[in-house]
Amino acid sequence: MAEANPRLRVMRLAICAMAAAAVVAACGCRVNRPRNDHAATQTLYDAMVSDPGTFNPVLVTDSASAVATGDMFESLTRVNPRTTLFEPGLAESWEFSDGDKTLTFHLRHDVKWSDGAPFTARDVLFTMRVIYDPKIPNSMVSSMTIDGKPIAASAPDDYTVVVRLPRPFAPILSSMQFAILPAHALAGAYEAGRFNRIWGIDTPPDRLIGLGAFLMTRYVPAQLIAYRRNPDYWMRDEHGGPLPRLKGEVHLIVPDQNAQYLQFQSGMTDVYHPRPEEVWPLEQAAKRLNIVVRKVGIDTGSLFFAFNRNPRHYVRGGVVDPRLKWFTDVNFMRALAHAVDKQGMIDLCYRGLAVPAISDVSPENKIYHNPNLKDYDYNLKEAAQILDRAGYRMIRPGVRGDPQGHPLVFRLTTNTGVPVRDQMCAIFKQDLQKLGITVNYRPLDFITLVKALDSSFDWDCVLIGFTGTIEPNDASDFLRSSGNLHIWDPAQPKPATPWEAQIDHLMDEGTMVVDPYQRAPYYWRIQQILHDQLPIIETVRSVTYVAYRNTLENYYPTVWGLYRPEWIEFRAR
Amino acid sequence: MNAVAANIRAENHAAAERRGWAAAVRREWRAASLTVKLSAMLLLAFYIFAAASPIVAPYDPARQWRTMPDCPPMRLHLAPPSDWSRGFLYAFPMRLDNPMARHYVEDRSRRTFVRLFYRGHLFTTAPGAPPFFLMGSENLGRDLFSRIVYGARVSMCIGLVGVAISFSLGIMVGAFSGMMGGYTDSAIMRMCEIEMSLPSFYFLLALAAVIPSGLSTTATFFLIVAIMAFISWAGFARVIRGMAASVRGAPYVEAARALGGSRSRLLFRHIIPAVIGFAAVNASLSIPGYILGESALSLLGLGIQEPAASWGNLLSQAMDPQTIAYFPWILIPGLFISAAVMAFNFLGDHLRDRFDPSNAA
Amino acid sequence: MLRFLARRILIMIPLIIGITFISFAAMSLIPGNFVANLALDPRISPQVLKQMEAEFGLDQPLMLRYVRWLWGIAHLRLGVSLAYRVDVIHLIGPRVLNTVILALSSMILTWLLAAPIGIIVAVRQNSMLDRALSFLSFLGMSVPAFFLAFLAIDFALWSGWFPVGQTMSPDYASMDFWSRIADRADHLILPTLVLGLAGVASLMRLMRSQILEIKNADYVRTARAKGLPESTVLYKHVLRNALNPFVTMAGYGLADLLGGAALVESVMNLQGLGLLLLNAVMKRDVPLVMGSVLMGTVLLLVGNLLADMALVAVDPRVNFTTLETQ
Repeated sequence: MAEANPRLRVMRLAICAMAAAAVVAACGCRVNRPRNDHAATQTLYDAMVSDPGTFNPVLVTDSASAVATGDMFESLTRVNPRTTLFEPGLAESWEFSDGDKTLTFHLRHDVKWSDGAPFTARDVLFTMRVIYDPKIPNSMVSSMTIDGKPIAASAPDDYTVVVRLPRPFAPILSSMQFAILPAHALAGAYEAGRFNRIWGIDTPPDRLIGLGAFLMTRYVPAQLIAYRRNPDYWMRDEHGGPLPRLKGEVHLIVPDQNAQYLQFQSGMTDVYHPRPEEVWPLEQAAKRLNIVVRKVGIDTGSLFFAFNRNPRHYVRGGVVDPRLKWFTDVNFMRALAHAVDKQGMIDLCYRGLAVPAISDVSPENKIYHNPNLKDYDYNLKEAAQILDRAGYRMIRPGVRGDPQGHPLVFRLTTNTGVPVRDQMCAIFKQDLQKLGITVNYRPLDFITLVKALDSSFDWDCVLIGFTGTIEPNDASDFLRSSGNLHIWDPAQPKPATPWEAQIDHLMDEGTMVVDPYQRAPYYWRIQQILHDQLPIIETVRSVTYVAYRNTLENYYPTVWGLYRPEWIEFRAR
Repeated sequence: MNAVAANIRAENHAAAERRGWAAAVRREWRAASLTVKLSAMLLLAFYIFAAASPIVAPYDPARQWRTMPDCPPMRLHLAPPSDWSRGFLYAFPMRLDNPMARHYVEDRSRRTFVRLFYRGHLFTTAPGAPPFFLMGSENLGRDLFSRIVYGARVSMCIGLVGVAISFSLGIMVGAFSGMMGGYTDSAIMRMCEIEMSLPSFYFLLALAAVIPSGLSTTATFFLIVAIMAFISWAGFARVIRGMAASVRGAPYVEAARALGGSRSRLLFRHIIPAVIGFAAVNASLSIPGYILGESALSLLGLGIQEPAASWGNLLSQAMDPQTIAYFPWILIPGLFISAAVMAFNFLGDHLRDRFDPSNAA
Repeated sequence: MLRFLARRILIMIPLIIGITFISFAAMSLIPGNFVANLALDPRISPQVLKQMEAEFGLDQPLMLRYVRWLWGIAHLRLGVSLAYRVDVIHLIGPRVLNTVILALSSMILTWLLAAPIGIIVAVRQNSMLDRALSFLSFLGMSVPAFFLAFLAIDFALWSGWFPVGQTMSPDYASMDFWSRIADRADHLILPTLVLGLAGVASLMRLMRSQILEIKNADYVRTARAKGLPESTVLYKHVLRNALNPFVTMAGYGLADLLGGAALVESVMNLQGLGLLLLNAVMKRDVPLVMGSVLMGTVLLLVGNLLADMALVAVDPRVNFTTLETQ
């Protein structure tokens, strides 16, 4: 390389760098960020926590993809979140016949795909064929399998779908709630065996053909997904006016909850689901920020301590670990249930914005929740008495032993990264310490925890949560003794205890009755059994809140989703 | 030489060394500047925290006052002489006034006496009395100061343990490589280069996520340190290797070799002693890296886990701007981290100025 | 020079293979694979999980998967992300850009601040200014970057002057060219300050000691003895030589910057390589992890190479032959 004047070169370099920095700084200071006027453009901005995995509704397995595709595709029926009952969707009506073994859907005639093609029964049948294809792993197929067999469907004409069941199957309406795919657009790719790569997140949005209230216009990875309203959407308001009323929607992708909170405060998003500690500050700032803070309801899921009663974990070389005896001893479990300081958890972990959980079904599940269970109140004295009476006595100061004299020690775990769970475990540990029971707490990362729960079975006690759905049979894998999510002893060849056999029986019975109100007693009974036998100890359910701009109208959030989202609009100024 | 004589000589030698050490420490102390003295005292205090946590901490770090989460630090007042039988100092107990905002008011009608050298603690309150939170409480109503004191065990030891590992590894590999020269040398150096080209932080993330689940907190702690040390020894080894290579040609090493000294003797008697002073200085400068590394990992949820306390995981509670705004005392562990790191930097810098031969100018 | 480049690039290949193999093996040591993410979903049956495992090839032995991955790399294919079902390059590309921009801008900032301060402090050795700035620099070295990031977020929130998080505004795509640049710069200011300031302290210390060392070198004494004015000695002899190690530093400093950027990215919620990698490790998305690690490694190696070439350009004593024999 030629040697010019090196010093000059260095100087020049430095000057260039400085100039560049100055330009950057100057630009930075002068950026006028025009407040994007969401009301004027009738565009609703909200935040989601992660990038979607796919835009193909059949392949969706994560919540981000479900949100991303949710407004573009629809199913035959939908649920009214206020009544938790089914309402017409793409099917304008349906009826059961033949002793509840035949279900006939009458499809709407006025629905068009975004490329202009009409929506017909062919689309429904195509979607079912895709779902049942063993080469296409998806999350719909298990709920659409009755006694190991698929549901048979046929289409006598373009706007009628007839579903034939081997036996009356109450969850069928919920099973049929899958998003319908456009057969005319995807059949070719499906036949060619390319379905698993079709409509991935690198698909240009205009190639996605939907029929929902909104159509995707833009996806910028790690930034946002934008939608515009579907001008041909089938739903009309009470005056025959077009729906949806919003002209557009934008989901910002913001992985960090703190950042979401800040963005809501700065007006970048219009809706925010605050954590318990954010509710009070938001309420205080409501006037200044022009927002409404509203209580939505009680969490639909269930957060509980589960205790491992799986003999595969405890019996090693003919020796039975004493822990199996403790956890299958209902007296021991009852004492532990009395040692869960639910009020403490509510005050410390949720700022008071939670309620004690008694049943594994949330009270928000209005029909299936059993309201008659009596909670085990927090009472360490009573817990100690129960333990004493059952033979678990203090063997040394501060150490309690079982009737055989083994000191009571077990491990407690949960998944990392959720501070609330850490805190709840710390509270439980501290209370058991007072009873003379030593708990070794160590959180695990999610996948390691899953491996412990479903294949190595190497765990004693876990704090874990399940999300809740309206359809009680969705919890089948958790409740049935043969289920893989029957967490305390999964995939049993035959029920290990009489009460587990009884639950299995009730689960079978419950699917035979179609009317929700007549079904409910079966599931109430199951909740009672779990409450009495205590394989799991329920903790608390948070009370959820939502904050949104006060210019938003018809915004009715419920724990099951928005009520009439198509009616939402910004008030004209 | 008979055994007794050897014994006596060894004893004399040891005594001389002891006297030498004491004198050296005294001499160094006099030579040090005020900042260095302050740093040394600060570190000493932190190590006392770690060694005598049960005494220094007023309470059990796991004890929860469930009605007092996120309580602000309490002010100390000097008691009037008439109350000295109950304690020289007192504080007003705090009462949770608005549970949703976690707002507290002082209850001026009552006093909590803080007693010094009481029930085996440096200071604490009577068993039934309301607690005294010197630095406030955290979100489960645990005493932040007690947790900081216990957290010193992790945070102050992590650097020492980590440096001990990377130091011994680096010095062995580096000195060996420098002594051997030739193909062995270049093979080892290529290995070090791979190690140094690892995107270390990314790699640390991947490795920290691998730590097996069944381990106790202590074992996890040591694994994390080992991983950090494993990532950082290579650079160190390279420097040592350079020095060893230059020592190899030195006349006294040549002489030792000519006299038929074995390789290991050469390594341990001649090469390592020649580089150890420099290495020690370098090691002391790398301690802060471990303290910061631990807190960074804790922040990402990969460090020391909840029931145990470290300064990093105490600070990780401050990750949320809400907490910083409403409960600023949660940042106090960050001050401890910064103070420790700064003290180590001052001290290391001072040692380098005094002992590093390459800095002699 | 071509010979030099060819040699260096050849050396990189075994390096990359070594590093990626270690990472690949480490990823396989972690219990559970990507499919386990879905195992607690009641809607997904174990059969479906098995099908997915087979679809992703997760049931095959480690070596086979690694060789297959390497084969893909040789054909410039980074593989398909398990979680996102698209080519990894689509995910990594935009993030690499963000990370590189952040790392470079903070590096520039660090230099612009550290070099002049270091010079001033060295020239006025042991003055009050020196002591004060030295103390400040120690303070700066002791405050962790993520702690600064906390404070920066707080400041942004309090003042409302800066956007919080993200690398661009939501309406970025609808902007014209200059607004886009301005928008990016706007989002870059705080992270750059946080990351850059953390580096200023140590770089300034280094600059200072470097200059002090050279000030007493023989050739500087000679220059002074020649009767050259002090300013000429300073700029022509001392500074010119003091700068050289920094050029080398710049390449190696990239490693620290990438690491520091990852942490700042996660605290300040910027879409960079670090955050992507962290999530990918958590989800066991092996192709994405490997792609990110590979990207990080290549960035680092290229950074070092560029630094060496820059050194040849500025330091007359160094040429490609001496670099090779080094």
